[in-house]
Amino acid sequence: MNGSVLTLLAVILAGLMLLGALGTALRFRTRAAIGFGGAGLTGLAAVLVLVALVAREDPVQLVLPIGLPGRDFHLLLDPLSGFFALLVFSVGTASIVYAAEADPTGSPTSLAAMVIAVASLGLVALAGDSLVFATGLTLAGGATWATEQTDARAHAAPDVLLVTLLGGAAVVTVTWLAGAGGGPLGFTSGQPIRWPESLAALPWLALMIGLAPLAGLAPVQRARTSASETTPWGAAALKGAAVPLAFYALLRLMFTLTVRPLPAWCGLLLLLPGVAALLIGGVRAAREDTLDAILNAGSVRHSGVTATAFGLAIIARALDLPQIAALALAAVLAASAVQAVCGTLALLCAGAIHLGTATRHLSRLGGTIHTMPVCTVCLLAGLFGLAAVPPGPGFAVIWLLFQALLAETQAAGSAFQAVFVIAAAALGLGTALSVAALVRMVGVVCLGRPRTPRTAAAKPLSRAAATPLLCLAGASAILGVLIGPVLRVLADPAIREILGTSLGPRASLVGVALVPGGRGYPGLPVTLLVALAWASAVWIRRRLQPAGIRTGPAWEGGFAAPPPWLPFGEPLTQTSGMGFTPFPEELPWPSLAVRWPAFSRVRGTAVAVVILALLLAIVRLMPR
Amino acid sequence: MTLLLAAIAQALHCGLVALAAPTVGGLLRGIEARLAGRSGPPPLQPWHDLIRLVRKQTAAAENASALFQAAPPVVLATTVVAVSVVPSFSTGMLFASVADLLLLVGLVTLPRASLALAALDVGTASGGLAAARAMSLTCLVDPAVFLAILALGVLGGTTNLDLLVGLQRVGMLQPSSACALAAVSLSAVTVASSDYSDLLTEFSGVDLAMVSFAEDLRVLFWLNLIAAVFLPIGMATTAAGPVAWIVGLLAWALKLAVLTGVLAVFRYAIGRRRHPSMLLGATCVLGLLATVVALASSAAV
Repeated sequence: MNGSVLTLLAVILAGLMLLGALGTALRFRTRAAIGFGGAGLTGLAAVLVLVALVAREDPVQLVLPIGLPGRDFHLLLDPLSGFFALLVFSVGTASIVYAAEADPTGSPTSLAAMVIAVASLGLVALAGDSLVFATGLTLAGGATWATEQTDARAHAAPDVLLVTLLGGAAVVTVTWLAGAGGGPLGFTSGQPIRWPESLAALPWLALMIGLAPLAGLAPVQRARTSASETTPWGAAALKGAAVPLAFYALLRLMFTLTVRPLPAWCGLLLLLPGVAALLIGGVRAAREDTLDAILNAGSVRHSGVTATAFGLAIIARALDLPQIAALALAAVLAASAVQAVCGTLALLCAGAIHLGTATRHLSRLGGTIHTMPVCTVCLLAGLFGLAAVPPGPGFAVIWLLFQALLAETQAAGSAFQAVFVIAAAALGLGTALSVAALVRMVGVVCLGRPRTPRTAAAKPLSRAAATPLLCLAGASAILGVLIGPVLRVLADPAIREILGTSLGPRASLVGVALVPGGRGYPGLPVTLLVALAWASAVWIRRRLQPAGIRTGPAWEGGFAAPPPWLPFGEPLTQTSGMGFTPFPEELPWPSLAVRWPAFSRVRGTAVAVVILALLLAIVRLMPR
Repeated sequence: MTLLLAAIAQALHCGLVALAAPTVGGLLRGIEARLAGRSGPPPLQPWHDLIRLVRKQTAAAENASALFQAAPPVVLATTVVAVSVVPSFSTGMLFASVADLLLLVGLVTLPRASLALAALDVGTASGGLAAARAMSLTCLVDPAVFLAILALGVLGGTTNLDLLVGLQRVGMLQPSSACALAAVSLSAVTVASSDYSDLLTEFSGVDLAMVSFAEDLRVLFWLNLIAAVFLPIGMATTAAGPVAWIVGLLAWALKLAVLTGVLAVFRYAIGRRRHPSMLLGATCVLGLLATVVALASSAAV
């Protein structure tokens, strides 16, 4: 069955590319055709991948009728690629529907480019060799860049494009090196790398450097300028699906391409940047002043969590602790799912607030819960999922990560133990910072009083545009409450493919345990207990106050009543979002954005074509 | 039969902590006042306050949203779940399998975040300041708690509270120096984070009764946690029978009284709000030391 599914998926990808190309070339007058067609095809692809994952059939490969001379292009559907393809197609569907419905007056070309971007990311997830992977990644970067070019009507910096090109080049190079110069570029080679022992980790180091910007571990995102004020959020939300694909490439190449475990210090190469990203991203997320900067920093923090878990998985495999490695890999996969679902949800909600209030600055927002209640609730759900608060999915990730950390602390040598202890403290701080960022963003943006007349008259989302947000919020809730079944059905086959061992009965309906039938994180019982206690509390309150709630003016703590020309109250009496971390505001933290030179569309495309041509020429010259 | 006993012990535990929480809160405030040279409220004053509050009609600010009204039940529910899984007089209760230390930390973080959001919802200066202060304090509390949990996990090989208590009872949670450091670390966390009263100023009536009760439960949660992990003297098992349960109950009451007194003395000596960041910084160092000692001892073994 998987063979038929993969063929269908290939047809769907081709259909999406065609739809996007036609939409761009013919400049359809209506966005509905592109939106409906794109979302329908992407949704169908998600369903097909889900069916294939649940069926648990053997991996299949498909040779595409296109390719380079002498080098065919391949698609691959196995549990690992299926897991990430499911994330891409699910999140892609929601993003396309949102982009089509949230702003009906937007550019159809932009939406068409977005459809191409989703198809390209799907191509990356289903790539059977590094050439398809690199091509898909470059196309996705180009399409995202083109989307920004179209809507912003300004010269966008080519950071996305260069990041994807760099990632693709790293994957092609490492696949070639892993094949020791004579092997194929396929993802199923399974060959031991023929490098000397002392140099065996060098290709993986190159891979990590190449993919670090895509994974969010290297600060390459451009600093926002007034020219990019109107950047479309639907396309920006695709970052939620693109970042996990960097970890997919690392998983694919570092675990399945070579049969020999990497040395333990290779794990530190991911763990240490992961811890740094966790802290820097966490602090910046609780201090930034704009919606996109906060969510970008939050994404970096979450990437740090994923990288830390990844590093622990490598170390556990090197220490011959397969059960712990499985636990750490489960954390990587769960974190990727959280990043995709909750990260995208938060980005889309922030986009809706930006669209409704025409600002992304915290100092101009406030009180959107009264004008945009659905969007506010969905933003809360997305940030709750990203933060480490039970019973959210982010907490399940932290629990898995901490258990792997604890087990490896007991098993590793003293040098590693020192790193693990620091990582545990950083994890605690990162967890608290994620909660602080949640409270700060929701509190300042959505609660309190509006700070400007424009915010007070924010335009709510249409029902059609709110639907994908609600679906993602539902998916986030399912991820958190039913983390055991989700891991068992969707992630466990991938873990088995990577490690040869799996969580097995440790992931059950109840939650995740350290040993089969043992005690662990009971996601479902805890949720039921809290729900029962909450229902009882609500019932008691209703019984105790049958007269309901009386409302009156808020007590301003002794401040004088605001003058008539301040209809939203004295701005100084409302929090500005400062002081949510214990670190002094003047303390310099590394920036997560850099200034890029702006490229025109022609020059940017020319640069991209030249780099891609060089890449393909190098591949062509590689010995077969 | 075991399941029935576990359920009875759990129900008894829940009832007892509900009764004990406001009393402990009253005792704490009374001792603090005495130490400061004031007569202070009687220990049962919180009960009088709760009865008075539930008879009053709840008032809310005009611009308060639905989130403000949803916060008190969420705060109470999550705190009740957290405190109900920490063993008091007996181990092996019905919710023992849920009692993971990390989960418990998460469950006490959620009410704090809910209260901070409710404080921000009204849009007043005091609410914003209180929310920022609470979140800032959380950033100092969590690393210390994570390190203490890591130390206990290294010593016991698990983060499940019930199993850790079982190991401590049979003297398997060694070395005791690491345990002592972790105990001091968690005690300092209890002292530094035992007062969030400035987050409650926007509530009134039944809502204020709910969040006040939850605050008392939270203090009891920390005291219970320290008593269970580090002082499991006299603690029964569910299968041990009624006599052991009575002994466990008496021991629990005694431990609670002593710990309440110690907490009051520390709160008075250190000052509730003077330097929580310095205290929590020291707490992190203690947690780090506890982990180092635990790792050193495991390496020696």
